[in-house]
Order: sequence, then structure tokens, then C-alpha cells
Amino acid sequence: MKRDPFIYGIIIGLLLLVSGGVIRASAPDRTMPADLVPQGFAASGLEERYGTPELKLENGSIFDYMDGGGIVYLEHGFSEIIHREFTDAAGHRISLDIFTMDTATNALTALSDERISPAGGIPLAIEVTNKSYRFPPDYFIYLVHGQHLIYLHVNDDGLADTLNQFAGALLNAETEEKQ
Amino acid sequence: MKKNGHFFCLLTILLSGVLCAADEFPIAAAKSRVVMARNPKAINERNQANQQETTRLFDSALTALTGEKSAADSWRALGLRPEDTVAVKINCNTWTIDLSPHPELVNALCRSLQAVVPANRIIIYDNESAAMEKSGFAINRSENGVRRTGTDQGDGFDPQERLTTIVTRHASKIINLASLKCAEGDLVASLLFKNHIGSLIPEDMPKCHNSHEFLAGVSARPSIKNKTILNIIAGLRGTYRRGVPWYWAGIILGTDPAAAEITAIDVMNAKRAAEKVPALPIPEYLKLAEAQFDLGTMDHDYFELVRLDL
Repeated sequence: MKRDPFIYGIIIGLLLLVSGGVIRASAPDRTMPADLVPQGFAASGLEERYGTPELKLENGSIFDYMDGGGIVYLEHGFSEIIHREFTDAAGHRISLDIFTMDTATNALTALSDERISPAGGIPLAIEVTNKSYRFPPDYFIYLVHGQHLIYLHVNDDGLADTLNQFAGALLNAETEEKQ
Repeated sequence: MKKNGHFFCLLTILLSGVLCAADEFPIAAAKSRVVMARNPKAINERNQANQQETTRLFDSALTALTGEKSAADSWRALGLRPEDTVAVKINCNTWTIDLSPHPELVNALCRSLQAVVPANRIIIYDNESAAMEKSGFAINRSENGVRRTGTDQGDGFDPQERLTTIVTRHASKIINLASLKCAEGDLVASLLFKNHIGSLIPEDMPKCHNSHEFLAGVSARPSIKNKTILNIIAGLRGTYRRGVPWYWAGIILGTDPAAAEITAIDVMNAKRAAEKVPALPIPEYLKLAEAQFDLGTMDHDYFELVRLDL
């Protein structure tokens, strides 16, 4: 499956670094570069990967991750999701989900599907197509790059700026990766 | 014997009356009750539940459902006996916004149940232990206190019913505690019927996403159908569109799962109408639950809806 450089920028540590540059089907632990993770947060648990019902990955299919709502993503050519969580000492939790669709067009149509990203999303001033939502106490962002639909969530909307900065850091990592 | 025309007319009228009454009486007698109870003080706008007000909400809804004066009498009216073990199926799917039942509501339920059964014969369960922990339900498989466990803790699955043995072997009564959750798409909503996906042997879970008939049929399996004494839909916070929450501050209680389920869809549709969003359709699995599996009625003429505003 073809991947654009962005996915490597975001999950550079998640997939490759710890495994010594070799992609393994079931690497036990991977870490994101520390400078990307918001201050005060650290990775919590292991990275999880889910595929389609026909092609399951280490943690199963999308239905094992999000239950029946996965059908909507399958309609947009979903092939896999990588999930990671970060927590701080106060119990705040940031979730990062990277959905890979079969085409960039499908990633965009997924973003415009209100069953995935509801109506009323407010675009952030960042360089990629995105929508942000504040439903206290939750705050989350959907953004699209290439064939990837990326979801960032924090369980305290008081940390909305932190999440916005995290989104920016991920995009900057992509830019640096390109350079 | 000469037959009198007036006599036959009178007899016909009387017999018709008796037959009509006989036809209607069982319906009237079988009419179940669904309670839709709300208490704005039970939850705030930061998704923090108030234990005292949530308990008041639950206790009021329970007695309104049964018409009894106390929790003990209510549970007895629902068929609970001191020797029973009660399994409570919760839904701790926490992807994106958290819609797991609030621990305060589960506490209120457990406290109420203890009017009849001891704490250690109450089992709170879902399929994933990790999701339960994340939702505030620490696993407790000890002999002390309310038990909380996942079907992934090794209790096994019944080979015939293909359900967790918590349901088939350990529990003698079941309470289905779902969340007020809009799924849209093919399934429309994730409520009581979908909640029991988490009671299935894992390899069967995806079948529910491809077949409404399979999904409806899960609740018709003997252990679930025969042991369930109460259905609860937790809606302190719910969604009326997929991923869009609101603080409805209420719960729905009923013994008829189809009636409780359609009431929850009505609640979501009322909010959708207020927000100018097209109404949700009646899900296919719910039609099948009623027509094919005899799991209650979604015809509003055949159940009594009691609204309770605290």
C-alpha cells in the first residue's frame, strides 16, 4: 500500500525508530519523539493497530476499536487505523487516531461526512483541511492530509490550545521530514 | 322450539361484547409501562454527575415503573428474589466522547438492588475490562462488594448460546443498562439491543454489523430473554447525532425492551427536531425484534409512557 511522507512524519517513532528501522507486524512497544508530545504528557499504553474485517491487524478490525460506527469509515475506503494515547499526571488524556483511507479523495469525503465529523465544526488556522469541536468537557479535531484522516481528542476542553499545538507540531514534523 | 328473533339479536350483542372484551382485555392487562425520568440536577455541563440527585432520579423512576412504594417492593415486583445473582450489562465504549454510564448511576442501581440481594451477587460486566477501567469501573472479582468484570477475564462462553457464561451460568437475573447513543448509518442507534453485542463470544460480534436479524436475535436467546427483568437507558449525557452530545439528564426504564428502545429513539428525534435535523428512522433490527422475535412492542398504543420530571 502506498503511503505519503506525512504518515511517516507523524508516526515516525511509532512505527520505525524503536524497531530499528524494520517494520514488524506486531512490535511490542513504540514511542513518539518526545518533542512532539505535549508538555507534561507521556505515551500511555501501547500503540494499537486495527484493520478491516477482512484484513485484521494486530489488535483486530475497526469494529474491535469503535464498535458499529466503523461501518461509516469502511464506506470511505478505510484500510487501517493507528491509535495512541497520552496522559498527564492530572489524568488528562489525549487520543491520536490516524485513519488510512484508500485515496486522498476518500479521506476528504470522510471528513465531510457528518456521521464522522458532525456539523458545526470550526476550522483551525492550520494549513490542512480540518474541523474542531468543543463539547465540554471534550475537545477534538479532525484533519486530513493525503489519504489520512487524523483525529485528536482531549478529555478537557481547557486544554484545547494544547491540542491545537499538538496538531501543529505533527504538521511541522511532516514539513521537517520533507526537508 | 320456536326461536325468537329478539332473543338472538340480544344474544349476538352480548356475545359480541364478551368476545370484544376478551379480545381487548389481554392487551390492556399486558400493557407495559415505560418511564422517562429526568433530573437536571443529576448532571452538570462538564459531564459531572451528582450522586445524591442521580440516586433520587433512579429511585423515583423505579417506583414509578412498578407502582410500588419502596425499592425492595419494586424489585420483588420485577421478579427479583434474595437468592438471585444479577448481572448488569453496561456499555463502556469510550471512543471519541465518553458515553459510558456514569458510575453514579450504576452506584444508585446497585444500592437499590441491595434492598433484595447482597452486593456480591451483583455483577457489573462488559466485554472489555480495559474499557470498564477507563470508564471508572475498576475490576473486582473478589468475594467482597459488587463484582465488576469483563468477559475477557476468562469466565468463558456457553457453546450453545454463544454468550458469556456470566449470562448463561452465573446470573439468574439480568439488567440491560445501555447508553443513549445515536449511531446513524445502518444501525441508527446503539441502545439496548446493540448493548448485548458485548455479551457475545468475540468472534460473533462482527456478525451484528452485517445482519439486523442476527442482532435482534441475540436478545431472543433464552438466557437473555428469560432472565432479563429490567431495561435501562442511561441518558444523563447522550448523543442525538453521531458524535454530538447533549445533557438530557434523564433515564428510561422499562421491562419491554422494544418499548424502551423506541422511547429512546423518540427522545433523540425530539432533540433532532429542535435542532432541525431529519428524524432517525425506525431501525430494521427493532422491527425484527418486535415482529420476528417477540421481544416487545414499539407501538405506542400498546405501552404506557410515564414522564417524570424532578
